[in-house]
Amino acid sequence: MKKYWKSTAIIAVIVISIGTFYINAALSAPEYPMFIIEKQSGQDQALGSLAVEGFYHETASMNYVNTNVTITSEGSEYNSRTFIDQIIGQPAPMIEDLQNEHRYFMRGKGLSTDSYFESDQMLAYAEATYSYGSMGPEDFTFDIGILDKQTNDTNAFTVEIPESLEIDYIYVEDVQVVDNVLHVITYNVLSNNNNNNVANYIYTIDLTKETVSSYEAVFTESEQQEDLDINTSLVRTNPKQANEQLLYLKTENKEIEDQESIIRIENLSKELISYNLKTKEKTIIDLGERLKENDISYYVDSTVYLTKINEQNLVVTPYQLEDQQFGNPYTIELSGETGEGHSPMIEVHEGKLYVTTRRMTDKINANVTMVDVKTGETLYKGEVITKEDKEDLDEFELYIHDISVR
Amino acid sequence: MIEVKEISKNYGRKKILKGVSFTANKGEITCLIGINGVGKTTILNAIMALTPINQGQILMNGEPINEQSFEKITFIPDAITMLPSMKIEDALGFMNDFYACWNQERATELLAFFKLNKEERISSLSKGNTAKVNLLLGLALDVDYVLMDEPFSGIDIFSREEIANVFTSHLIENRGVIITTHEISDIEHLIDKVVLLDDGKVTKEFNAEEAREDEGKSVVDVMREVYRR
Amino acid sequence: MKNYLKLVNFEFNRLAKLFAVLLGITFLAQIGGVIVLSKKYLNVANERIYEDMIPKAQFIAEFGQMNFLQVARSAFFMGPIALCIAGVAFYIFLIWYRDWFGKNTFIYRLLMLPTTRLNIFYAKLTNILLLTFGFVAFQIIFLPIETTVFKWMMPSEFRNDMNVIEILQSMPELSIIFPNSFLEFILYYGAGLMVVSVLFTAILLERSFKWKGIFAGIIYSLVAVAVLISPVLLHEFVLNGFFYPIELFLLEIVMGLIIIAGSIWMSAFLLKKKITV
Repeated sequence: MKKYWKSTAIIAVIVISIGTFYINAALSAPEYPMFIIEKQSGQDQALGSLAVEGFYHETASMNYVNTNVTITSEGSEYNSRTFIDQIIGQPAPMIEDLQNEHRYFMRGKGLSTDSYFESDQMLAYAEATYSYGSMGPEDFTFDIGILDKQTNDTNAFTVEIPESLEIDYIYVEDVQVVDNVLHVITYNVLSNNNNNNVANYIYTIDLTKETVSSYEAVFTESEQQEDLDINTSLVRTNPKQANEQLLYLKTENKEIEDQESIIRIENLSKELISYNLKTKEKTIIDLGERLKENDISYYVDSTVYLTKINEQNLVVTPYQLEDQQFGNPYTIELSGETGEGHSPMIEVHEGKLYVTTRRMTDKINANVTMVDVKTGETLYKGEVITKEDKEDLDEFELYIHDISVR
Repeated sequence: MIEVKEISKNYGRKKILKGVSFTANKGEITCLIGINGVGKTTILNAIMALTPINQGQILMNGEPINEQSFEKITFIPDAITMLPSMKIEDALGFMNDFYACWNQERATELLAFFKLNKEERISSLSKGNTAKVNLLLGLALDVDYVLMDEPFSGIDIFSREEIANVFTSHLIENRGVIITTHEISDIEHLIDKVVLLDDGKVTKEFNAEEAREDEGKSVVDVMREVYRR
Repeated sequence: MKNYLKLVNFEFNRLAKLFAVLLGITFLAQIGGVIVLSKKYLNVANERIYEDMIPKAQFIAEFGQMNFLQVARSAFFMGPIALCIAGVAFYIFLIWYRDWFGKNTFIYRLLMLPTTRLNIFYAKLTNILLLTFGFVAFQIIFLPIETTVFKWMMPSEFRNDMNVIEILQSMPELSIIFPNSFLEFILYYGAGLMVVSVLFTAILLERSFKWKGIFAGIIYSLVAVAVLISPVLLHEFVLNGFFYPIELFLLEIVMGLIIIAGSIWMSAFLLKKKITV
């Protein structure tokens, strides 16, 4: 056996050394706290399948890596950074659901939730693609995909985007199907004759002829004034929601440099404008003084939700677009931080309004409230807490960036 | 019996072997004779599947040669087949490890016969002793057939004699030997069968004893006849 | 199987010397690096504190503590690793060619062994793995020794301690050699095994067909690359992103396995029918 000692020894060293290394590596994997939404008042099952998503990071640690965590009333699940998870990628929950349900249709489709429209009859998809030419991106086209949910028929085609030469960048902000007509709502950066413009476009796609039947720049702003920032953006809505009316918020901000050369942004004006996809009419919605005071937080079922922080309370004012009337405002009590930059997340789903505060640390908890949109009655009140004793945890911060009801 | 049937071999465009056929029997010494470069070594390599052939077939006891055959047939090339860093003893150990037909007793006997020191490293051996170790490695295998490539080339006269003595000993008895040489004087009297090669072909295949007894010709006489033509 | 193990052992004994020498160089250079770089830091510290009269705390605040990464990122540490990598790369070729060239004709012996010739291929492949994993394993053993020496050299107020896992995870440049998870370890070294099996096949092509074999070897390698990237190319340019990432990943693993199997099959064929001494 003497002549076998070298190879036996080396194999033993390899197995023990590498084995120990990986066992230790596995054991020393970072341990994250378990978050849970704990009920404070309300019905037990009321919260349903609300999921709060946030970025978790340990403030004291040297690395600034955020780990995404999904928190429900059952507990929390971290997006692991394992090799396999990095390969699979971590699409948004809505995309994940679509992939599970329509695995074939979703092949080769983008991961932006804004590119999808879903109704009981159909699932529509539109994404802008381009190729790299010598002068930068060129040959902009729309990839269109339609899935008929009843028959499971799919229709996929690409159409050239008109005036493609002027486009520098294009982003699909929303996809809507109204009376069987597909509208692709985009945000374009255009350049012609060295003038850079940003514009909100709407392209109408003829699904039978597979062409762009019409297109229109709803708003165009030239980017010329240096300290003036005019921005028109779509009001946040449920990406799956069918909206005949699009809501744009146009804001005009001015950069002001004060004596200590700190740059402050002052809002000069705000305008809420609706665009009707059917009639192609633009209407300015007059909200009076309330528009100035409030944030336009959410838009769903032709109701706009205006929010305002008032000390430790959030005041929500619904506004019905159809009868052009404000509903009764209701007040939601918040704990935790409510300062600037931390305005709460709002989501309206099936007649219920969900609110969470944005930030949680080892000192402050985030809270979750659900109210009835019609009556303003609080149906549920809860708090995001850690299962572990906070004393035992390292300093951390959880920044909530999304809430969704599945 | 080893049957070499119509084998051809090309190196590029050059045809080295052009349909060579002969047989070698167990219990006989068959000698492949021809000038250098005629392809004698190539034939031995081909028998051991150490080089591919373009055409033809080689059979041992009616079967094609494969790795299992190497317990029945072995080859002693003209250079040693062990690493220079090995001691003779390591080389014997290596053979013992891999060959079921390795005969340790015979190896010991051969060591004594050749007066070799098993502690010595192969790199420090003289040419003659290297050849002896090489021979030992082949002959200590209990195989039916032994192929030898130029066992006497470049070796001093005393080593030659010692090696030649092996051929008359019990170490060779009952085996089939195929030996190549371009100089047959050392072993002429030992040879049973001669295969004369020229220009990639067998020019004559004959029994040495018959030639001697019937025609009164030595192997060298026959060679002269054939090559002068 | 028994013959395969015997061949593995035999081949390993042949490379043990080279292995030991490279390990020795690695260990000495890395320990040397720890000593030299710590001394250098301490010299600067002494100069500043005792000659320029800067308080210790201020020096540490300005200059920072020294941690092992400063050693690990230096040529003292990375140089020997590069040398070992070069050694393995060189040995992939040497492990075959040394049997043909030189005074001995050991390839005769190997090819005349009463065992399938593929065992020679497997044994040499296994030895490349043993050599590689041997370096990895010993580097993992050297690291705690080196950090201990580092602790001896440096007073605790000047140093920032790190354990082996922290050191390796803070060095992305080493993550291919020391992958973060065992799965990655298997995948990376599996890919390495595939590359070596392709190179071995190319070497055997050269050994079988000489000059023409070099071209055949290059073509074989290119075919292997083409097979490997074919799913990605199809996915990107023909199928418009048809595959989900996990499917593409699994396809790539399948392609890798096909290449390994193809190389083994090809090598078996060459060793049996085409090889020439």
